[in-house]
Amino acid sequence: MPEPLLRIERLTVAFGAVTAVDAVSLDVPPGGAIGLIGPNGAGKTTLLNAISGFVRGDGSVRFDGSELIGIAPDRRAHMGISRTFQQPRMFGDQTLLDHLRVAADHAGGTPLAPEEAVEAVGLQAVLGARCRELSAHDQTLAEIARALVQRPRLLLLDEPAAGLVPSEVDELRVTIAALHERFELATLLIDHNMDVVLGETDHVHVLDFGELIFSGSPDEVRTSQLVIDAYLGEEWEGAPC
Amino acid sequence: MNGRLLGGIVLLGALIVAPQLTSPFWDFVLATAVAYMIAALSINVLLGQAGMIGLFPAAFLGLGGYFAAVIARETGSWLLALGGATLVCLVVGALVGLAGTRLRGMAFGIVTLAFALAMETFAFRHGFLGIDPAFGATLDRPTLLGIDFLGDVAVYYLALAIAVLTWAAVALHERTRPGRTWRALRDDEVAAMSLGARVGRYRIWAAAVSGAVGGVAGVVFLTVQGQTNVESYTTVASLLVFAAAMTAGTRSVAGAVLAGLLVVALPELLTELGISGEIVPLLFAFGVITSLKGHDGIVGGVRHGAAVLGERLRRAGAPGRPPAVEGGAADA
Repeated sequence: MPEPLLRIERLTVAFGAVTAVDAVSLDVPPGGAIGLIGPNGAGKTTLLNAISGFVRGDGSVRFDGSELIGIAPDRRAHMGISRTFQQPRMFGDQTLLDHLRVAADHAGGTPLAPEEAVEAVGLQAVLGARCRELSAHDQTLAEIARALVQRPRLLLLDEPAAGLVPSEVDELRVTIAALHERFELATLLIDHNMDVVLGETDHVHVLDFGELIFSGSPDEVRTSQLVIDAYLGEEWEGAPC
Repeated sequence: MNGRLLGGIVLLGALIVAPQLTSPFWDFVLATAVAYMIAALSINVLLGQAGMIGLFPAAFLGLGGYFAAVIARETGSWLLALGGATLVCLVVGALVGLAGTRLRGMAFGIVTLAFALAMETFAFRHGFLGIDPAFGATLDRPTLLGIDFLGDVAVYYLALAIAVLTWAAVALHERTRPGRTWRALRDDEVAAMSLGARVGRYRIWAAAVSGAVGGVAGVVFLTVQGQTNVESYTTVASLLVFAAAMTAGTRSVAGAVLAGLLVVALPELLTELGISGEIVPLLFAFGVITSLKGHDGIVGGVRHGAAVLGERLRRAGAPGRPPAVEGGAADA
């Protein structure tokens, strides 16, 4: 059994009296494609924020054997953790190339060439465009390209399919699928689009009210009555008859 | 040639010929305005590029001037005075910027305001560096490379040359890693942090560079004026320069140029027209409010308007565009 790239043990994140993440434990193996699903408010994004260092948590988050709790977000990025955001966070009036240069400036090691990063996500044609003028779909891909420049070993994807039309979702799936093989990175993917999560991951964790209620393969998630009751619902088209 | 470069050349050309088109009185006014253009550029660096509020431009104007006066008195060298004062202001700016590692937005702005107030109250009004507050700091206009800059026109061109060099340095810095990181922090600090940007050190560097540019402005201001006292370096003066920069625009050299003219030349112009210059702060207050709600000051508004107009003209002149049909589809 290989050592996990990311190991989370009994991680708890509380905001005052509200416990957003409650003693969650999970592993992400090197090169793994892991999904994280759950209803709104389940604590998915909070968990990503805790991994990337934007919220403080109690427990243990170990990356490549090193404890991350207490380490600032910038140092975590240097260690090889990159992320995207639920609402793409772009640098205002700057071009995509500017974005990629900033990412290259702060990469922990040798950065990926901007041209290679945009080629990986299919945005070669808009390298010189201002990111605020890009479509939501292209902004999502631009965030992924920005992350790729830093050659991450773990890429956290926070609802990349949100707001995309079906054809754009299909393109996104192709892009995500190619990342693992091409860049040898692991992904932790959050999304409400089950086609994306169950189609592009090897293992899925399910959160509800901050607690990890189920972990299993995409097929096991599809047929789990617990997951259907807590999140997917009986009306879900993938539910067993 | 892109529009910005062309605009910059036109602007520089206008500044070069300006003294030839005005009366001798205006030579002195314009030379003073150039000093304030550099001061506005210090806000351009801090707010326009790094997104940090700095309500202390007059404090660095004074700090630069006072240190230049002392260094020139001790060494007899105006160039050493310029370099030394700039270096001191760089260090002091960095020290003030330390607060920026923890504080954001207006909280940091309040710290800079407190710094301006402290400099006015405890330094400039209390014999700072042995300079009598009643008499003020003095600095002789220099002779450099055999050229004397004693007259108002000559000192105007000296001020303009320093301004252009400062603008060039700031523009080159914009293209470096810290410059790119500043803009990233300004636009989205969380995203920049997620990419590994060490926010604290870049914010300190922004305050340091802003302080240094403010110090250069102070040396130029004192050189033009010959003698200044604390009334030029008050907290109110800091707020006035900041408001002028906001009104004009903080993301372009054109904004800094306009801010300098608004601070110095506009009151004189109004006086010549028989209108009280007292209304200038009111205009700035209005300008700040409109800047907060819309584009980057007057310059940003003009640029936006020109872009919209250009787009409309481009569309109107696009070949093959089907004529509009009233009440029906053009392509029907």
